Amino acid sequence: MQIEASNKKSKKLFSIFFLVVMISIVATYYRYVIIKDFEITTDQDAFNESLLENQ
Amino acid sequence: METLIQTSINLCQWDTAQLLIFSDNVFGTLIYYSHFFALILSLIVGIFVFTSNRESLTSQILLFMTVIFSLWVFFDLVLWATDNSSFTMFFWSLEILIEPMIYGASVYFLYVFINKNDIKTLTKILLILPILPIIILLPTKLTLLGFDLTNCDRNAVEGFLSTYYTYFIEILYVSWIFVLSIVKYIKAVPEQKRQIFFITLGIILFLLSFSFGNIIGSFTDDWVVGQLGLFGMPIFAGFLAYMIVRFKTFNIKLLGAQALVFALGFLVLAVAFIRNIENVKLVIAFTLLFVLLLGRALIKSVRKEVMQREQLQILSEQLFDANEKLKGLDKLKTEFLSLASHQLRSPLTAMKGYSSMLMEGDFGEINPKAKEAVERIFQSTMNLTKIVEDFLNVSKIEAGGMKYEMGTFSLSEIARDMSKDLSITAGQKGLKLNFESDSDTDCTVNGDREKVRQVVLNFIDNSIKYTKEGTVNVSVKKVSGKVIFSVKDTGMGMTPEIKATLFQKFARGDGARMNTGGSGLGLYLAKEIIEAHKGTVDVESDGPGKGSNFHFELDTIK
Repeated sequence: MQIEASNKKSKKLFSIFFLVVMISIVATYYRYVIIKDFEITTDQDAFNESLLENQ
Repeated sequence: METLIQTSINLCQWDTAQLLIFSDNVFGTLIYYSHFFALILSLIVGIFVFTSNRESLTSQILLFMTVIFSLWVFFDLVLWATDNSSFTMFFWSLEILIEPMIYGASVYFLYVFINKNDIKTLTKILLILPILPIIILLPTKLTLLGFDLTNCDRNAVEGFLSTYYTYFIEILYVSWIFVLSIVKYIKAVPEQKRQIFFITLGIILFLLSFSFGNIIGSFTDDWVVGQLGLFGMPIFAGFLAYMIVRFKTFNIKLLGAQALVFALGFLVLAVAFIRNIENVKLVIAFTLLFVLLLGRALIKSVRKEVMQREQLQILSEQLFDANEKLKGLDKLKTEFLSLASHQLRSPLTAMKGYSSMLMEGDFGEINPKAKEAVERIFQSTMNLTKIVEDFLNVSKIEAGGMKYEMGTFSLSEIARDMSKDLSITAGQKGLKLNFESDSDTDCTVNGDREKVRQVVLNFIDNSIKYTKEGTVNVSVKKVSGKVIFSVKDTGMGMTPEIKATLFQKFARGDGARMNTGGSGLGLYLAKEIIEAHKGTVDVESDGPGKGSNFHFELDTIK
């Protein structure tokens, strides 16, 4: 009986854990892939050189 | 800003990835080699171990570890190949999430491997707790600050959590493994010590080599060195395979050998695709190490297996011969018993008949002393007849010639009659014989009336024989579609060892001391007869001197 109770607790614990993981993954996907909400650091000098070359 | 970013991307001249992982951005064949090798081998090990024993928790955790490790390797390959900044941010985050989970799972694996049992829920919560901040804060700037386009690096800029916290908890998990192993090692017996040593070494090597590349990458931004860390997986797999062969941990020697051959084939094939001679040397060095470690263990195992098989073959042949001889002897014995019993029955019938006639005065009055002698002759003849009947029945059963004349009858009626007949014998010994039953119609069964009567007689007669004082309670009850006949006494009882052999042929138990005349076949015959009626026979006893309860059950007529 104790083992069964422990198994049930364990299943509940892992279910909650994986649910939280899935929510976190979905939120991360939404932020980075769907709405592309992140900062991009660029090389300003390379950009300027490119503009000069084009002119 | 958009123009600036797009121009910067164009300047870098990245290739667009096909199927997420194939592109010219992956500039070394070694990267594909190291990733595919680690991914395939880890999955093979995990799936083989799991399919060999799905119920084992160790197998389940190992499968989880290898699957998330393979996912990590795949995501890493995506990061090498992709030119999409969103994908880089997303898959980089996933890698940060998976890494501590591999460490946590390794601790869990070690616990279960050593204890051979699951851990407490509280320990599981303690294992999960350090990972929770990473899971919850994964989509925030604490994990990734942004995407770095400078120098065409295509790297995500890691935040506080990924630069410091993840490594802190990874160190925490490694320390946990060390402390757990040392504590268990000290307490373990010598054979367990070797197991603990090797499994810990395998896990530590795997985790250290796995971390090596990431730590170097995070602090120096040199992610190429990180690829060498993936070779930690074959080392871990090598140790795992060693555990399989040496300690039969998962009992999948054959599967381990198949995994080795597959991995070796893959290694050799990979060499054909490497153009850089330095990389070839590296791959060959790893292959050689892999072959030496696993090959030696497997050869030893195969040699041992072959020797055992040869010995087993010889033993099997000897056993077959012995079995054939035994079958022949058994047949001879059965034929002899049958013949002897038949031959014995005729003179016994004559002895019984004439002694009975002598006692009843058919040949005239005889003096009291002679009468007493004749009575003893009659009683001994009766006992001998019973033994001969038993032998004859056993030989019939073993020859498959026992015939049952089936019909319906009331078991309670038979038990009542037998109890009544035997109550005189019980009374002569100073015993009280009680009888109780449900109604006759409730206790109607289908079977051979005479054979079942023989079993009832045997049970009650035994109880009277082996009970010095007290009571013998006979009962017949109908319980959920079955008629249960039981004889409970306050007699000599028995030990569990005697109980286990009591229904075997010639088993006498402690009863041999009280009743030297028995053949040891009565209970064997009872069991055979009841089982032929699709019923069950059993006995219960609290121990020597505490009485016993013999019972059998038959299906009732609905």
